[in-house]
Amino acid sequence: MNKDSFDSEKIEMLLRRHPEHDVPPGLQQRIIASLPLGNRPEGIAFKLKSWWDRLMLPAPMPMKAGAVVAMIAAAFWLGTEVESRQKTGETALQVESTGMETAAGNSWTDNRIGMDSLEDQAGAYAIDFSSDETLSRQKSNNLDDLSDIFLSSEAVPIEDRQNFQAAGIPRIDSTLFLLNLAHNLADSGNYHGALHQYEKVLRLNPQDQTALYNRATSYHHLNDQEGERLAFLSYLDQFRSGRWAYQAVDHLQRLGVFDYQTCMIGGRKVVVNQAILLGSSPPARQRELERLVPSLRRPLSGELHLVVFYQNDLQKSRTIATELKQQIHSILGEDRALPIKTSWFDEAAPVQTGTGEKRELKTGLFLFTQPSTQQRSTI
Amino acid sequence: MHRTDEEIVAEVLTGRTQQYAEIVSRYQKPVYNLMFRYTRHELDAADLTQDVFFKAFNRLSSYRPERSLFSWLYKLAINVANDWSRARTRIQTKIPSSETLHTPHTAHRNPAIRLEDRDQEELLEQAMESIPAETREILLLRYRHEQPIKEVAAIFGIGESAVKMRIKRGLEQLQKIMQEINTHEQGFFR
Repeated sequence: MNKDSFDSEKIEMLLRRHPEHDVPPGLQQRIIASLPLGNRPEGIAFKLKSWWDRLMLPAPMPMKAGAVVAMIAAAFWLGTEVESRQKTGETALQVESTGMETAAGNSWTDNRIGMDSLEDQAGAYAIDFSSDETLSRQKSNNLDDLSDIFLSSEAVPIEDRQNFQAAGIPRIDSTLFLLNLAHNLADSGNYHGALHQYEKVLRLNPQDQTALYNRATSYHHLNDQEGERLAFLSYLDQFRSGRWAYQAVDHLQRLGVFDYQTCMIGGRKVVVNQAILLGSSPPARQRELERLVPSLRRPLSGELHLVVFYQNDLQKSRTIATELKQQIHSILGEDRALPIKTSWFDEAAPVQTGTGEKRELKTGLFLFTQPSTQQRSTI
Repeated sequence: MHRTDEEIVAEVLTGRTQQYAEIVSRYQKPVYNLMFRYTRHELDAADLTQDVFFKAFNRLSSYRPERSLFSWLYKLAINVANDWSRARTRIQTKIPSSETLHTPHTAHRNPAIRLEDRDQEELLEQAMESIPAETREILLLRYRHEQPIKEVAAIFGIGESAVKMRIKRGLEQLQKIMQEINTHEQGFFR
């Protein structure tokens, strides 16, 4: 295909018809349910908020400017009054008397104040000084300590957690918090620490895509090939499409693991587990083929090619090819009569690793479709 | 009878808040798709979509009918998506493991299978993942959602000439990347 095939006009045309996903079922109901809806008169708070919003719109007027200045002055006066009363009448937290608040805003100091406060069981105060942003800025091992303290439920009272959530800050035991922590640890080269946090995320959500992939990447950086292998296999067990899935296949093949294979079906890349498809477990094979159904149900031009290699056993390769063909037809049903052309060989499947090393697999499988007529005409 | 967005907003602001469902119905799909492009995850995209409409509801009084509701909502959605991205900085982009590795491929090749034959939409999708998110969204707003340059500029808070430049460069980037993918993978059967 020459470069003119992707001129601006063609790309513009493709962008205009860029497909959109349908929203998940029930999303609208979910959104509506989360809103404080109802035919009711506006409350004073709502009216004040509306007035304030309109006031803050970018249309400078003397009256508006005056009102804003007056409000700021009133707020300042109120603040100084409250502060002076607090200093005289109340016992402030110990941190205040140390003078540490003067350094507030510095990420390291904030972090230390947060940790000390947690250790003192002063949860609410700790939260003020240990925001997610602060944690993100701080890239030392203190993060790990702080996370552990945070995550021990005794340290932070329930009310403080609720306040924390009400303030719009992600929950400290959420996957988001742990992922940020893990990313920071990995960023600073602490892959063991990162792994520890990714594992925590996966205990909370075993299907978290980022944690699954990054766990494998961390093993890779630790040069733990067995861990990397198992982690990428876990990733592909859950996710079979998208860039990271293709890269996971590449990683595994670099490790000499050819269980997974990328195929082209209907112009799209599809990841299949050839080890399962060539294996002896019909239920597992059935489940694996069912994952291919969306790709096979799409309009395909021509037939689906199914090629099976089985070294020194022509009969077995033929049997597997035939069984797979029958299973695909069975899964697709009569309403999708997909022509399948099977081929079988008693040779090893040739493969080549990224280092250029040529290898032969005793068994192998290829699935692909021919290009469409329209696609051919563009060549 | 078809009611305009502005009429619905006015009704919601006068207390008939249940009319907000109509706004959700009209715009949930573009917002959800925007979020999906950022998150690549259905559940996260749904959560963020809910977040956008929740925030929009609470800030509806700040909406000015001089702008389209779509662009006002989209701007809010872009901000939510950017906040999410900042909070969830993916390690994949920080650890260049995959980039430093050679990509192996099966040696078996079928000359009939050529990359040129791949679905062009798929190719565009891949290329879109490689350009900056803001450029991608500018292109989609302009072409997919047919928004005027002026509205796109307002959404991203940049000048109209900057939008035109981004569009021009974005198209060039896509062209280059699509060409590179072609050249790189041509002839391989993977």
